[in-house]
Amino acid sequence: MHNQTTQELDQARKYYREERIPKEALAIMDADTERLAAAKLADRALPSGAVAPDFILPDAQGKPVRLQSLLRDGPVVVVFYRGGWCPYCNLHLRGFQRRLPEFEALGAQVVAISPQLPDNSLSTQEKDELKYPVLSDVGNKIAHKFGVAFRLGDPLVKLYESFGHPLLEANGKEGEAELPVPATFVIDTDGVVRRSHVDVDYTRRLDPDEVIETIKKIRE
Amino acid sequence: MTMIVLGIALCMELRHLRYFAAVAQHLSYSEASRRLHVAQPAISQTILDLEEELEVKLFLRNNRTVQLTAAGTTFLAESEKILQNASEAQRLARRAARGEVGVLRIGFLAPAMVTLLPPLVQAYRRRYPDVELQLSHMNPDDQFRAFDEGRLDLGFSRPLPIDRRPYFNEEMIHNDYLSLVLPVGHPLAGKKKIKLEALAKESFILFHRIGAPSLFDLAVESCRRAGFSPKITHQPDMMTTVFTLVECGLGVALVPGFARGLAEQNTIRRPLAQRSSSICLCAIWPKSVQGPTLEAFLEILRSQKAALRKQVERFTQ
Repeated sequence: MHNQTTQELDQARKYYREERIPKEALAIMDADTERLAAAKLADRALPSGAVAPDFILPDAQGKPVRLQSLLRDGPVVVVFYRGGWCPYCNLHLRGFQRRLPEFEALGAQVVAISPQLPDNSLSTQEKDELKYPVLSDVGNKIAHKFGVAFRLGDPLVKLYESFGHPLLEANGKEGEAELPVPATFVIDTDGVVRRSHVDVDYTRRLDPDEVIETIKKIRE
Repeated sequence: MTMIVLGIALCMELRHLRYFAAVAQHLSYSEASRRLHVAQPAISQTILDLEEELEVKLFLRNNRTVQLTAAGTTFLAESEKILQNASEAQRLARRAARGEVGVLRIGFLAPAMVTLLPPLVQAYRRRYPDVELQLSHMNPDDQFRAFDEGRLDLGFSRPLPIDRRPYFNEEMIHNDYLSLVLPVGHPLAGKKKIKLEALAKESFILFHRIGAPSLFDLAVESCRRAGFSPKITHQPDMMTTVFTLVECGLGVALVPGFARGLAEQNTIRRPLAQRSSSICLCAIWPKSVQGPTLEAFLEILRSQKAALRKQVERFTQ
């Protein structure tokens, strides 16, 4: 099924908006998304054609993973996600896991980055049985360099707490009120961004199938 | 508290080492008790247990004094290493939980790197903010000791001695040559370049040989080539002291052209009329040490090498 992840995200959106989340909560969430859209947050992200900043981040076992080292073996897909507590993020990450054999066949690698503490990203990884590195960017230092970090509005922080996923616990003090906008960057072996997808609406992601098309083009 | 009186091996715990080290460091049970917040009889008993297990006496005690035995002295040095490793393990685990990655431990010759190191470190910290850098001034001999004990990942030092070459990588950063340091008012201070022969009767202050053998040997060799054996009156173990003693008028010094004293030190620096053999500054790291944190540092170093060399040329000419 082509673009399966997008379909799953659409279903999830419908379910959460129409059945799960109370109207008042939706209003708070939508207001924050609109705030980001108005601030043209997506324009700040690293665009196609830019050189990606190198990084060294710990994986779920605390082992350092370096972008430049990965690029020696082929293109790298860098996926910024908000955390294991975000159902859309889990769908997106699982979508990449489903297509991992195709990425591997193309010589490409996937890494996911969130501001969660390493021990918390481990539980994300275990839960979803992800076979690609899940990296921890505490304090969103690398997210800032990719231009995708933003401060949450206070009402939203409180709302997430009431949902039972306090950011302070997941992300530590440094990342307590900051998140990355979910984003997908396809980086070629020269370190150049070949596709940059950022949407302030966190329910909309770049489908792994679309990423595969981009990588095929790079490989040509 | 459980007393271990079985006298069999493998009963030793960190607690034994902590108590023993505290007594040994202060040569006093009461002082150890105060510092550890543990009652004195408990400390005495723990050390007795330890002695029983080891089957050696660690202390010589009489009513007044406590002294370490030879066995105790040896055991203290090893215990301190173990305790240090234990606290390092604790620190690293906490860092890993906070999401910081790895440590890059760098030893460097401070006098030769006053201006070279900051741009490297700044660039690295900007790019890799989660990697902890530990920077320590170390002479070449200290660096090898630290490498041997696994306490160092990268050194900025002089070229590798032959016996180290099979086990280390070496990358040249810049070439350097000896230059002269003279006290203000020295009769030769007016000359632009100085012939070493003219200093045959002078007292020489050379950085001590154990700390940096290749530098010392090069200085002596240069004097011999100029036809004399230098009269070495002082061998300080710090480069700034070399400059201080010259400033005091105790003699002249031969130092690497790019080595610097403190800005406040008032001495005269002159190149030699006939250039000495070269003494390079190198990056060295054990072949067994690898990983992205070191690799990334070496890449920054390589990208900045041309700029570093320019800086050295400007200073030494």
